[in-house]
Amino acid sequence: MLNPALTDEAQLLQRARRADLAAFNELVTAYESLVYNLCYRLLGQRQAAEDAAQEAFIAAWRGIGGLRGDAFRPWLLRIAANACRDEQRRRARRPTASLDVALEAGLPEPADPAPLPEASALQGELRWRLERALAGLPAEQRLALVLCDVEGLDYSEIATVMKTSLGTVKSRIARGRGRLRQALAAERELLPGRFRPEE
Amino acid sequence: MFWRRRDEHPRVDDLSAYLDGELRGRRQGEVAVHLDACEWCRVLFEELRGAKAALAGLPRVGAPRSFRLAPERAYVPGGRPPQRRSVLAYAPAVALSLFVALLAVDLATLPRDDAGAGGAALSSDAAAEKQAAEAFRGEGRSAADESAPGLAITPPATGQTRPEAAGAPLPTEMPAPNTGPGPEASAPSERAVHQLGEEESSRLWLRLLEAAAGAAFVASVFVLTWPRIKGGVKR
Repeated sequence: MLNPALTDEAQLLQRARRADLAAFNELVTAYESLVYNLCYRLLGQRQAAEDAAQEAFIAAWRGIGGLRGDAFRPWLLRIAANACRDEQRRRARRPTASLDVALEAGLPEPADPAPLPEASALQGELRWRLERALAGLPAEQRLALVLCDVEGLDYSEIATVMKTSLGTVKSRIARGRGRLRQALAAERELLPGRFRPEE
Repeated sequence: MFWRRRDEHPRVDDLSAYLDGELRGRRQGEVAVHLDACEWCRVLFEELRGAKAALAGLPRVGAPRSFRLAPERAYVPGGRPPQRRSVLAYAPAVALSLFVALLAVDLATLPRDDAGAGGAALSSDAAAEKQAAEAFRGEGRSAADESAPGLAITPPATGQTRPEAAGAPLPTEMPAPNTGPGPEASAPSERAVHQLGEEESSRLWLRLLEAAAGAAFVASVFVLTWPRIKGGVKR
């Protein structure tokens, strides 16, 4: 039996390709949380993530006529990753605000002043250190790792998003994870039991 | 029990892929067996698992607002559906194709001209210059004109002996249209010059078109990329 959600998505996609903005906006609603979260994890800053997510959806709308097949999610995530890269370059060119300076230095925002809407398993200093370690990774490793461990994509879909081979995805994830492991090894005492390696 | 050789550990790539359930077949089994036996790899594996779990434990940050597109943001100026490509988007490809085609025609016609000059390693420009100089000297070279094509070049030796033999009334360096050679002597030369002029003219037009196509390519690429560059700088 067909998954009704997927069937809906295929129909919405078909209509959006024919310049039906209402159909495209339904897809935006379905994916905006995923896209924004990816942008936030890649950029480490809320305003930048918001700008990048909006740019990604505008670019997706403008390019949806060229999308072949029904693989909308990896295609959209690739556009979002590109929008993040552009946003980071833009902000690096005009480092006027203090947040931009922090971003240019590869540092995420420090602990959020307001609590996040979702419950967090990791809190406080440990989360900040983890985000800082993530921000310190090379862009390709960070993207592969976020897609795998934060968004839960499998290697095949990550390869589609990044337009690369499975072997490269495997290598980028392993390297990124290896560097995070080193960063976290120094914070071992901060890790809750379920995140702590077995002794 | 061990990974290939007794002293060989799995690569970090394989441990990491095993952690993600992305290793298949025999390799997966080999890593599992090795992890049971190797304390060092087990510690590394657990650290990788800790990193993965920590990342997965990061909170999901919800979208702060809706990103649905309002019609004025969704449509590009001009009111056309945004996913349809503008005609201008194809301009660089068209201009480049035209440039390549013209260049090909230009190059394809060059060797034939050189061959017509009896294999002389002179360019058509040099040949034309020499031919024009001959014509201005007012020499009757009907035989040469009839036997040679428009861009034929007379051998240098013949050219050197001609001033004396022809006994031309004017200095050879002074092209004087009013006191030129007689009509019966000048007709073949004028025809040669005329032929030459046509060749030169068509080649000149070809080169101009090539330049125009090249310029159109550069201009269209600039026009298409400028908004992005400008947006990148100004935003």
